[in-house]
Amino acid sequence: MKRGLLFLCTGVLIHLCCLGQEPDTIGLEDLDIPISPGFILFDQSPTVVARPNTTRAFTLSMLNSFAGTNGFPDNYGIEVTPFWFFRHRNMTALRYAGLHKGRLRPFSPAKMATVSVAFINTTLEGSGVPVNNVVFGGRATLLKIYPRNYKEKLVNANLVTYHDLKGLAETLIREGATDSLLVCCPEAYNEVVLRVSTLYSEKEDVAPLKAVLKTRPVLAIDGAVAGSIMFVDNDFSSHQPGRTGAWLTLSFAQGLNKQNTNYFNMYAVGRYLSERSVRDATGNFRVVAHYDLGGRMELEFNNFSLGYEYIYRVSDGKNNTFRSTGMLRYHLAENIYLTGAFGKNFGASNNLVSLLGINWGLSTGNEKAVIE
Amino acid sequence: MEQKYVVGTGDAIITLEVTVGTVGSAYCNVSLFKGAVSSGVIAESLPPDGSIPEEPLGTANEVGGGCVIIRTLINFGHLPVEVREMAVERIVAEYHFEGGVMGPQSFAFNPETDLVVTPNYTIASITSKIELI
Repeated sequence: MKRGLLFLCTGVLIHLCCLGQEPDTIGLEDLDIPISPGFILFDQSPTVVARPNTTRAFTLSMLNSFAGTNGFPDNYGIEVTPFWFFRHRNMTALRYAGLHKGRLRPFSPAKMATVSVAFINTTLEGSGVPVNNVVFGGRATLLKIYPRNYKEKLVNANLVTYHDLKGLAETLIREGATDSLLVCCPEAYNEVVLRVSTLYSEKEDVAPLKAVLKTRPVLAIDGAVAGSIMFVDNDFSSHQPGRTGAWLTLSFAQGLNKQNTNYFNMYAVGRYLSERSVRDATGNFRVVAHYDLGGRMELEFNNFSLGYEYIYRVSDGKNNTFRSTGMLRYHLAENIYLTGAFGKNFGASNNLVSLLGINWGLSTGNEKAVIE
Repeated sequence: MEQKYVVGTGDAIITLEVTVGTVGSAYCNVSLFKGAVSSGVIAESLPPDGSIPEEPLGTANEVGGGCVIIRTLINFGHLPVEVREMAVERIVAEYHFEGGVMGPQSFAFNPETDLVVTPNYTIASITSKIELI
């Protein structure tokens, strides 16, 4: 518990340090740490309903519960977006935003699909025997539908950026980055370019497209699949297929203010799971299938969100059950979230959800995690 | 390393096509520098992207001995900070010439000499010089 408090204090300190930083850098939405599909597959997250909300190239997330782990994270997830690792010859800013040949492409977000691996510790149902799970997953936003004026805003913002860049090119010439300087002294030319373009890049409104891209879709459908290999009682030879699953999440967002910082979100989720967590009379694991259906309602105010989630589970060979949890999340600092959940988890016993923890995310665009 | 396109002599029309592939918003223009005189902008990209369709530069006699200067400016400010550096590393900028002695030939920018990136990875500038001989 002490170590847990230490983590929390560290987070608060980082948060206080960040208050002095320039407001330019990153918005709350940009920082949102995704919950790895592995965590969701094993119900090891404050919420079962989670959307792929990151555009990062690489994310390492650690879900840390203060209870029972001495404050150290016990579940880890790594998520990679392959899109960022390839060159795209025909890519444009508008195409990246989903607009191609004058039309908004609702299936365009699928290009930002992610693949992940997670390491999750659980126990065998009824016996308490430790199980180490290695979970492989993938997810993508399959469909996004935006408000009617979104396309027009995208085109206009990109046009403004185009004309600004054209103006920058003219300014560069006026400031001395001329053809003759390039031919005679390329290093001096590059110095002028760096000086002028750095000043330009520090403008507050340097990227009009950024504000438009923050617009939430009215409706979105996300899909995810995950499968695990489980190792029972720390014995490598015991490895066998564990839990597998696939799920679809439908989300609806209604803005509550003009600044697009407050939202009322509604989610619906349908999920299929198959697992081997119960031994039969012969000692072999028995396959059990689960079908989940439910949703979540959430109010989001700036860096704080509050929600309620209900998932009903129909199980093959077991009694039907449900998960009912309330949750909150607070953005402490860059890549650090305080998350909490309280309620009832699936099952008839050992089913208390009482989680207060920190969701850590280390992410970078260059295949390595850097903490500054 | 200097990039050279052999245009030779004569009345053959030399053309240039610029392809810019990036997730950033881009603008591109082309000028011709010959005999210590710049032509100013002779071709530029049109919204919404930074590519320039095939454009005649002039005859081999007119452009030979000069050099083509291609400037591309890219704004990555709309991307999350974490991916901007990677987006810069994935820029595609190709220059395709036709009409010269060697026929069609493509060149790519040299990141070592042509690329200038602001410290916050918001603006990238690529200036490539290709000699026409």
